[in-house]
Amino acid sequence: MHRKPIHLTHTATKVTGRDAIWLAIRELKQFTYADIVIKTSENEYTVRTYLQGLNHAEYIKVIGKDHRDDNTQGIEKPPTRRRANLYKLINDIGIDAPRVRKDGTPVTQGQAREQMWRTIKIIGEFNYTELAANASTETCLVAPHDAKSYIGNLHKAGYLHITTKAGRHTGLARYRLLPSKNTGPKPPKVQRVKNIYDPNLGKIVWQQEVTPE
Amino acid sequence: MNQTTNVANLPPSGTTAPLQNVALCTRLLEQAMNRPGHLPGIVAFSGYSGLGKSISAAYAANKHRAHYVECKSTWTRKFLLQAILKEMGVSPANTIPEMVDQICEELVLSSRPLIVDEMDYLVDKKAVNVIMDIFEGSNAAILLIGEETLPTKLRKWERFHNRVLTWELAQPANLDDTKHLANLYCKEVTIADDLLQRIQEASRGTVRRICVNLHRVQQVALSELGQDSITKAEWGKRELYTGEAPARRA
Repeated sequence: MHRKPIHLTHTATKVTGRDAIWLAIRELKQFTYADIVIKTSENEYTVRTYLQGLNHAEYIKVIGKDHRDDNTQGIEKPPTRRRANLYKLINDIGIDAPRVRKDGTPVTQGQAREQMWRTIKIIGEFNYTELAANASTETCLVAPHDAKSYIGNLHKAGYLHITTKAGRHTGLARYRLLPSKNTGPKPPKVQRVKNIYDPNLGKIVWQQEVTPE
Repeated sequence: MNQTTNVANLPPSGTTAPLQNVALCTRLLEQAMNRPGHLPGIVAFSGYSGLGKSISAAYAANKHRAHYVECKSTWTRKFLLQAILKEMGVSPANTIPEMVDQICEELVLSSRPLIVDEMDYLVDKKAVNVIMDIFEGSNAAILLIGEETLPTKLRKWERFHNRVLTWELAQPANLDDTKHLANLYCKEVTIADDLLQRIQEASRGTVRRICVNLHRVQQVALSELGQDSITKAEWGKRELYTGEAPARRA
């Protein structure tokens, strides 16, 4: 099954996807797989793989079988071996949903973008080589061409304005983040369909114009 | 391609020295993060403008995924708290005490540090106690960045002053820093050491001025001299940018 483009699942007021699952886990503290599916209305496969990842990475753990209906009268209860696992949140790391793969290893994709976005907000004015240099760390190098393309996209979406135009004497173009576009911690994403989506606002901030063929 | 050439700050190879201030600032933040539990966790990094404090903060923030806010002179206490929460991605509650609690909870759970830049403005606004409340409530590592007078200004707030673990001063750029900046931003032209030294002296250790001068030198070498290297002799009597307005001519 195809994953839906993120703008179809996100709204500014309602969190969805892994963020929503993580939110539900933090609210419930103890839960079964079914509890999360019911609470979030997320895709069952999404919930299952994320719970597996969180379990492997020890953010949550299985504390036994679900016996919460033991005191209810009148319904037939399944034997223990057929009951659902009961999970418990053991490592709450705050609002940011842990980024883990199914096997529990950390997801590193998107780290360069996160570092660039943070750096843009901190250093004020920059050209693309400066951004690449200042956003790099030992664990995640930012390539100059990546910085260039990200700047291009943010500029297109109206997030950056040019303070110095590129030229023979002025050198590379210099940019600055518009104060109103400091929307939050998550880097705006360039989607595969080449739209630009801001996860902090939960909306598309730039869309390719459809040209009639 | 040699990937390490574009790393501004602390190249993994160790062949080039990192910028002094970047190393200082990161070490300072790590000191606060790794302190024994009974010690205070606020650290301060201060110095004259243009020494590269913010790029140092950018590196430290990226390395430790710190929450970063830059204060503005117009900010009130409430706005400061809202800005921190926005940076965390938490939607702010209505009152100041609730917001402080929200921030503390997020800092405790995520164990990520907090960086407050342009702290001077807060001192003037008397919002210092809010930062202290956040520290008391979370015991998180907090890095304050400000102008060179920050330590003196904070002395007024004795209870706060006591909670600062280390005061560190940003250093003016030395010759190694100048070389490092030249490697990063002046790739088309090789500048001889004697000229780099002149640039460093003329710029008086300010990273921003050094970059302006490196750019000028590169322009002259490429367009006037038409060569890809330049020495002090070739530069001759041309002016370097010192940040001072030109003197009156006779």
